[in-house]
Amino acid sequence: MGSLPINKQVSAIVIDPRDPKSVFAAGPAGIFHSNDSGLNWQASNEGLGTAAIVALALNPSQLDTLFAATAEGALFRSDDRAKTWQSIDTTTSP
Amino acid sequence: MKRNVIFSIVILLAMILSACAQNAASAPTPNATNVTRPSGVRALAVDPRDGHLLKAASEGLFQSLDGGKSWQAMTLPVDIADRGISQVAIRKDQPNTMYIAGEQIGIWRSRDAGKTWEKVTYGLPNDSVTALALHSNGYPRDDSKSLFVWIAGVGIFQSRDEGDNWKRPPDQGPPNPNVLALTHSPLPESMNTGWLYASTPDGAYLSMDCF
Repeated sequence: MGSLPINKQVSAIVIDPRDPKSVFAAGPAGIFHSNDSGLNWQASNEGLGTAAIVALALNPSQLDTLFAATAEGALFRSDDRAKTWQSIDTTTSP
Repeated sequence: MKRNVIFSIVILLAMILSACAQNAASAPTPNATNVTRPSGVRALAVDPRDGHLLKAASEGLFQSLDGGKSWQAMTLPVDIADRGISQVAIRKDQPNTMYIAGEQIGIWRSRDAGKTWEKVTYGLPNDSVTALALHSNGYPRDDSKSLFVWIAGVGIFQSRDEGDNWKRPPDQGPPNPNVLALTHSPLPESMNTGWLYASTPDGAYLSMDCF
């Protein structure tokens, strides 16, 4: 077990239904992935820059695909289980 | 299974603390005791049928049919249209059924993919829903009619009938009551059908009770 995190906001969590130990967490510091239910974490921020993520979702039909959004409406997509992210140009907001 | 124990184990995130050190330098550190809930976008959901996106925001509920390039506002009942949507979820097994929730609107259900909505709050003490999770609907058994909400200042509530009725389970929730999101996990070894993660301003917590 990891120790209690302090002052590190998590805004959203997504579970990979193929492997429930695979957990993605998003927050002001970006996106992190754990393969062991949260014992160990790796940053999964490639392509996100310093975006503060408030929303995270997995495509239930394409489980390698995730979407992440900032409060301001910036949207990112990953097709490789959050390893890399691409910004999506949005034409309308929010 | 021990009951009554606060959502406490923690799995998460000690490691986020260390793993994200390089990013944290440029990210604001939230004050865990005085949280301002953000405006703007609050949650995303993906329709399992076609990959269309839904976005919950303080300005309303939006749908994208082109992978997020453009967004259209969805029509909501007039009494919630401008009151902020902070949660959105779509049932994987019945994608026409979706839920939205917010701190000022309670929780609402649509059975026709968002054309019409009904409020489903019987048993909830008030409308201040800050988090919503559908059952993960998988191993060890399906419980697809179950869903969960967090009521600000009160705690967690569960419905086993698609939102028609709500009850308070014994779990008292995480130490930080400012729950921003809930996520059901089908992690094995639950005596029920899974567990809940709670996202909070000072980290994420895994429930010790089963849900």
